Amino acid sequence: MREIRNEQLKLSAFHDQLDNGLNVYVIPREGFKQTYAMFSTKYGSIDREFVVPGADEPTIVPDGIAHFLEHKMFEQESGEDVFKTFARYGAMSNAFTSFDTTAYLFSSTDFLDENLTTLLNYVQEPYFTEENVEKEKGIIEQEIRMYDDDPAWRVYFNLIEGMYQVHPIAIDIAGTVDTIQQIDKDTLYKCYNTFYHPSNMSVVVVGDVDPVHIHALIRDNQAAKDFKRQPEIERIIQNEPTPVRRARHEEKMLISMPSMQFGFKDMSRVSGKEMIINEYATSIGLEALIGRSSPLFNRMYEEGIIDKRFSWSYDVTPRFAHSIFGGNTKDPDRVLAVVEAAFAEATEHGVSEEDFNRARCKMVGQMVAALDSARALARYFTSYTFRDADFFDIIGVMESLTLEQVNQRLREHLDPEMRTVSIVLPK
Amino acid sequence: MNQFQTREERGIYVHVLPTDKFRMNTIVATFTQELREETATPLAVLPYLLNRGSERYPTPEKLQLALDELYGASLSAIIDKKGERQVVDFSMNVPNEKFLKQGEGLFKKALGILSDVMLRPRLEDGAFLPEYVQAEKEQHKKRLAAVIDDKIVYAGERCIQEMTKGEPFAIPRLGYEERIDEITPQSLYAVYQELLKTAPIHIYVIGDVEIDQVVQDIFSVFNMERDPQLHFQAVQVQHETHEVKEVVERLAINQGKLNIGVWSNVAWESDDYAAMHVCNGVLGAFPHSKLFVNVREKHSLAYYCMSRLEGHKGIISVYAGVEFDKIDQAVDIIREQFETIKKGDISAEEMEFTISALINAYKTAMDTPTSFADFHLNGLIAGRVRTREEMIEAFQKVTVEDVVRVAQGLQFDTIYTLRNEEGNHGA
Repeated sequence: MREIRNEQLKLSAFHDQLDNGLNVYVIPREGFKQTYAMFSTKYGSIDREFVVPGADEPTIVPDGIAHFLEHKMFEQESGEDVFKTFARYGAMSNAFTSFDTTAYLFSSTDFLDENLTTLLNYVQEPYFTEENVEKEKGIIEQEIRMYDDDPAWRVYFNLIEGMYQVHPIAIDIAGTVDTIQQIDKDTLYKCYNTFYHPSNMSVVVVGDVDPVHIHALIRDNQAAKDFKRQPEIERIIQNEPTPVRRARHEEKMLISMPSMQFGFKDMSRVSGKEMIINEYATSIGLEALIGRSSPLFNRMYEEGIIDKRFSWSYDVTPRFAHSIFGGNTKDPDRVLAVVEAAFAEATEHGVSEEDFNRARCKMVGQMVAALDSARALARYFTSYTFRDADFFDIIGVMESLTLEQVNQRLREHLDPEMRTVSIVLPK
Repeated sequence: MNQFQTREERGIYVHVLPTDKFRMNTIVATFTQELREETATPLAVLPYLLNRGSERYPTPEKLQLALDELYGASLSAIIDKKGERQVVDFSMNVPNEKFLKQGEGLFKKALGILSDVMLRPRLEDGAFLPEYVQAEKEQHKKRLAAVIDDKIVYAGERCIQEMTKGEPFAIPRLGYEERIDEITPQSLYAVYQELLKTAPIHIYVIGDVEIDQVVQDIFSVFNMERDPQLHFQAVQVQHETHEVKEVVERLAINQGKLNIGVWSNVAWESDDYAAMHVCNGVLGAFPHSKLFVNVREKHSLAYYCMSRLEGHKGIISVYAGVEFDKIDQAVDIIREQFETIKKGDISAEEMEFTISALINAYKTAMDTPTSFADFHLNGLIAGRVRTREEMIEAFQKVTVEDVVRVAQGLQFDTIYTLRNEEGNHGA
């Protein structure tokens, strides 16, 4: 067990990699009532083509299968639903699937050992039958239809689709009503066996806990299971061409006001510390440029074309990266025109020293704020681990970034050729 | 320490909870007023207007800059509805400087900004600045129109409105669209003055602070003359239903929404409140509850089917997203679950799981500073302040007989369904 310490934040993470390859992190937070635990696999909707270790040919799986698999993990051979097992020990349990991660989690204030054991066991004991797979299709179909009525999801996904030409990120995480029909138990097992190997997974536990005890519990649990070391999984993603798929997409829905998002595809493919530098140079630049106290944001706010919920984000992983800006607006084209002019100006002259300092100060504070949420801490930690980066490096990186680095990143990133727009208009 | 220390002067209550558990310090400041047709709309606009700027920070940009300088401190101002009260709610979050390289006196500076926004708005000729009022009226129209954008929330609110027609509870949190145009800078200022003078003011501070210092700082800032209102109209909790109302609305949507409004005739202040929570838990609050197990797991009719207890008014709301042609089947299954509980068909497991889940949820909330304030204020408004520990103890004592007894009083009032447009069988 190795301690990773951040003196400034007065926070430690205790890390161990087990013989089967599983990475375990325990982050003690004194005084917290809840313990939040997340068991995650580096497997999401973009892993649609891969070579099963030991096989010669690549496998292509139906869209939505990672998410389908997440649903099916809750079923157990005993017939008892996992929700129920957690309920027995007063825990709240859940799971989610993203582009590149599937995570199973619980939060509890009691019976930590029992809950942690439940989490480890159910995720490692799949039980799929033809019948229980068929039954799940009705539930997932309703989940897909629910999202079809959600304007925020529609505008977001249309944007992602508009950005990427061949990258599987453009496929809806849940798949479609048609593609989920092609999913069967054999394919689920194939995906499970490939991606749910401990060497492709991590456990993060946050709470008022004893790291030695937690590490011992997980180590013993894993030692009793028979996992052979598995070679690296070969994931196949076609090379994404540079330009976006389409510059603009519109859809109509029953909503009160147009909802828009626009963003820039980013071809950076970095990981580890380099990725953190890239991520925060870009983020500080975007916050300085269009964050809530920027002149640009306030010009649009005063003009009445955006409200305070207009926001930006920058997502970066070793396999995709993009920025997204958006909100509700009565005049999407006016917003685009104002932004276009301001972005052109920023790439030419850069953001000011003052705006840079303000943005950096704000983002450091927000990182401190995240530490008060067990959930946020566990999620951040997992996502950085999966990108071979260290969450604790972030504040140091932010403090060492220079205005020149930030302006350089803005120039690279805000390339008009890489921009796409998605608008949902009222019917 | 888990309880607030309270000091009061002139109807201003300062509740302080000193703790070094969090990396952030939190201030929540609230004005409470009776929910009334005439004042609901202007009161709803008020917090958003005040949050546009003050004497010292005269524009949204300057205000945001001041916050960013406090390491990304956040200030939100919203209107809340608690039972038949409207609550103007300001929340401030600021990092504790112990975890930052620079930054001194952040808490005191944050309190300064908050009090400035609450007490020293931008005025012109003895009323609010007309441009700001105009802009905020426009924003508020959009806020009201946007209620329809989230179909799940929309259907839930419509069901409650139909159910509580003619009672103050039916007044929407955001007020009425048709009353926005009546608002003038003078009329809004008068509503504000009335609020400053008469509304009970509760200010919560949770964080690494010293009680006497905080109390002194707050009273010296909030030093106006006041004539606080002491008595409020009691909330109408008891209801007799004679015939179940069925309301159908049609919109262009992909998935049907089913909402059922049920009177519990038990509210926050009742000795049966804990038992009603357990009853709602057995019924539909959790993944182990009857609704989830039967509607989703057994019949695959929905992705979500849950129930929620509104504590001030004593309403249980059932909500589900269901295929249009399966809504009737879902209603039948939901009815059956109510009957099952009334007959006492509740397993020991269901009781045990529900009680542990409630205890877990109440303990977990102690990790979120704002939820301390929220829970305390709910108690004050309902006229019975309980601690979370008391609630936890009460849950532990609830028996099956208690649940059956309170379940006997449950009465279906309104079945609200949102369906697709007639002749359009898109799903």
